[in-house]
Amino acid sequence: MFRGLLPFPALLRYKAIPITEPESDDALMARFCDGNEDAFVVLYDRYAPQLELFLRRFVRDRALAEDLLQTTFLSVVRARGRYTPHTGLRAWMYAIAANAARDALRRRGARPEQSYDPAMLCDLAAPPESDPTLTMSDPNVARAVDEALQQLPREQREAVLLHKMQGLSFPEIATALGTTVGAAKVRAHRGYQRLKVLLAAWENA
Amino acid sequence: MSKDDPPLTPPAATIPGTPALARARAAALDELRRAPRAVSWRHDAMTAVLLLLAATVVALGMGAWLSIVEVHRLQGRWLPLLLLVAVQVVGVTAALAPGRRTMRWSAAALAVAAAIALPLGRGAGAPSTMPGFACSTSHLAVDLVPLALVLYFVRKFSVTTGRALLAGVAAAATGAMAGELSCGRGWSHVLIHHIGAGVAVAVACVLLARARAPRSYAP
Repeated sequence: MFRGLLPFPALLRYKAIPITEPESDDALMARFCDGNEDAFVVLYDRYAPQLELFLRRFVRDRALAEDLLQTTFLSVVRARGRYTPHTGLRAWMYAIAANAARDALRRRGARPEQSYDPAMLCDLAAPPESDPTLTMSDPNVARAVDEALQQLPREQREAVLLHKMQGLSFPEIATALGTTVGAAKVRAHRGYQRLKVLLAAWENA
Repeated sequence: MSKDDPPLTPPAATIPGTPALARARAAALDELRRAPRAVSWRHDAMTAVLLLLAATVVALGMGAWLSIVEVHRLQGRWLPLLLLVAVQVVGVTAALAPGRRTMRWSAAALAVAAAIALPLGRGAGAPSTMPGFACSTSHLAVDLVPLALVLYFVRKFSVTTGRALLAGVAAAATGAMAGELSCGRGWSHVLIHHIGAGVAVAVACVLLARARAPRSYAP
């Protein structure tokens, strides 16, 4: 009855554009377990870039990290029947990537390469979009952080990498490292304490 | 840098489509096309348990046919034998189940209980003219097929020492059952030549499982 009174009749024809919520990991995983390739591709696009970044930081060798990314996703496909929703898909994928990286380093019989991979330093130095004030945009800081990280014991380094660099929560880190939440917090805390000392020494130098 | 600071990089996609990403995706899609239906870990565990029990029955049957296994011993030793069956079932399930730390500890406790119960159930035992290592060798020979079986299943996922050890103990339980039904010697013999052989099988399982890369690195 007020149709004629409204100044903008076009508004009456307006329908809210439906905003589609991104499909949840578990829903995608259920379809992926049934062999749906589209669901896998969505999950891949969601997690592969961050896993590649993590693997590069973990093994400090670009070629090896690329191989490990492939190994990680082959593992995801082969063992998708082992995924349980309460684990959380992100943590589960990081667990696979960390297992693959650890095994590759063990087979290579050494700690991560000590030589600098320029691509990895670029990853470290890239200023995050969420917080451009962080001083990691300075390559010298990135290198110092990287050097300090390499001096941490493996377990502490993994916890710091997952927490600080990859943004995982402690329950997710616990799943990824196959430990308890308390132990993950302790590892990260000790790692941060050690990093603080190492970086203070670098700053004073 | 402290743990209260925000993450240095957001976990969103930071690397645009690289050739490595495309390659990994193509390989994963190929693998998915080869096996479109996922196999549940429960299915795997049940298959492994059934195959292990079947291998044990075949080994004991062959032993009885060759007159090595004496079925009449079954009457006096049903309790340790029952414990060994439980070690096989729980051990393999715990070795293959994702997570479930409590189950793994329960399986380990069960294995320790069996290792204590076997010599305790013997007492002084009967004398024998056979050398002691004959039992160890038979134990190891009987465990070969179960060991190969559990290794196949354990290597499908990320190998940890604990999981491989449990799987090895489950395989070794076959030889222990054969030992219970064929040997009448005392507790010290059981401890050295039967439990010792079982430990060797479990350690071999760990070493063999870790020697080659697993089929997947899923926890």
